[in-house]
Order: sequence, then structure tokens, then C-alpha cells
Amino acid sequence: MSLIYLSILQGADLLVMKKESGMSRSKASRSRIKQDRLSSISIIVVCTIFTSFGQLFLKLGANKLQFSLQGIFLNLPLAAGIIFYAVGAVLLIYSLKKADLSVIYPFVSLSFIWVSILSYFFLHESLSIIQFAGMLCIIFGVSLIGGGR
Amino acid sequence: MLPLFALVLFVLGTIIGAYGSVYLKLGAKEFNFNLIKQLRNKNVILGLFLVGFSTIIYVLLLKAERLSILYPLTSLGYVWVALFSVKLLKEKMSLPKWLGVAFIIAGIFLISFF
Repeated sequence: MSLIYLSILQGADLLVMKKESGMSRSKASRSRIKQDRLSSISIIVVCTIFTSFGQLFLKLGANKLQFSLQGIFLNLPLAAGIIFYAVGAVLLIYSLKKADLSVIYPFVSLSFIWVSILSYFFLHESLSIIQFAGMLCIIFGVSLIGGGR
Repeated sequence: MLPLFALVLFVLGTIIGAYGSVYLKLGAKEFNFNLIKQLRNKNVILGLFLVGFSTIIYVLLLKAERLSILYPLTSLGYVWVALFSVKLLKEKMSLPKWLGVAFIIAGIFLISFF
């Protein structure tokens, strides 16, 4: 699923770069950039919450998945998962309009934390300490890939 | 630990999704919001198909495995995308990015084998 994100990011990265090259970097615009960055980060945090609930619903939908036409199209949690996911994707693109990919991307991996919290409370799953360390490892790695130069 | 069959299916799914991303990137050059014309953008269509296919595999695996395990593992896709971008798209990867790849692989190892 996160691959859809990545492909959106690749597209959006191009858009952002195009915009930036035309932008003059005066002092006045610099403070505006800072403000835009802050609002973009708050949007991205909301986005990760949507994606994580999307994942939760996908899991609930997968649990009662049946291999028939009605079983797939009348599966409400599955549909809800896809809708939440789509909202998350739109929010991601929106936040990328005003801030750099390298600023936004480390925040995307917040969704790993939300998902583990949600699956603890709603699905009664738990991670071992080593698995939790693995998750932190992945969060750091994803931030490096997306945030690095 | 995941059963071997599920692990293989999962790895295949992420590779398919990463190929989808590469095709979406190729198609993004000619992308605009004239969506009817985009139906003839073969790269975008193929990319969406591949990403969709990998999502179906993901949902099928969700039926069998815990969400808190499977979701972090999807970041394996980033590793494939990094490799494919260098190989197929001739993009450049910096040292911190390779370090990121290494951290992701280490994390996946920790989550799936312990």
C-alpha cells in the first residue's frame, strides 16, 4: 500500500521542484516558506492518522473477506479502508504543494507508530521488544531515504 | 515468524508494487488531468495495475497475519524502489539514502524473524 504513496511522492516531487525553480528567495518569502512548512507538517500528521485508520479498516475487512462478488463489494470495512486511504493520499499531495519532500517525508513514517497503537487497542495485537526495535529501525530508515539529500 | 509461503508471496507483492512505481514514474512525464487521454498513457495504466495487484496481495496476507507486523514490513517496497530507480531510471542515490535502505532491511529482519 505504501507504494502508492511513493509513486505519488515521485510525481509530486517533480511538481514541487518545478515550482521552486521559479520562486525567488527573498527575505519576505522565506518567512512565508517557514509558515507554509508548519501548516504542511500539521496536514501531514492528520494524513498519517487517516492512513493508519485506513490500515485498521483494511485489516478488519480482510478478516471477514469472502471470495465472492457480494463478499468483496459489500465488505464495509474494506471500503472504509480504501476511502480513508484515499483521503490520506489527497492530504499528502496537498501538503507537498507547499513544502519540500525532504521535510515532509520523515513525518510520513509516523503512520508506523499510529498503526501499532491502533492494532494494540482495537485488534489486541502486541509487538515484542525486538519487533518494536525493528519498527524504530524502519522509521529511521524511511526518514533517511525520504529526508536525505 | 511468518510462514515461508506467506513471506515469499509478500516479497513478490512488494516487488510487483515497486515495478508499478517505476512505471508510474515513467508515465508521470506525460501525466495531466485530461483523464480520458490518460487512458492511452500505457505506463500509468500498467503502473496502476501493478500497484493495485500488489495491494490485493497485501489485503490477502492481512487475512492471515497481524497488522502490526505486516504494515511495517511493507517498507520493503522502498528498498526495491531504491534499487530499481538506480538500475532502471538511472537516478542517483546518496550515502545517507543507502544507509536508510540498510536500516529498513535490518528492521524488517528484526520484525519478521523474532
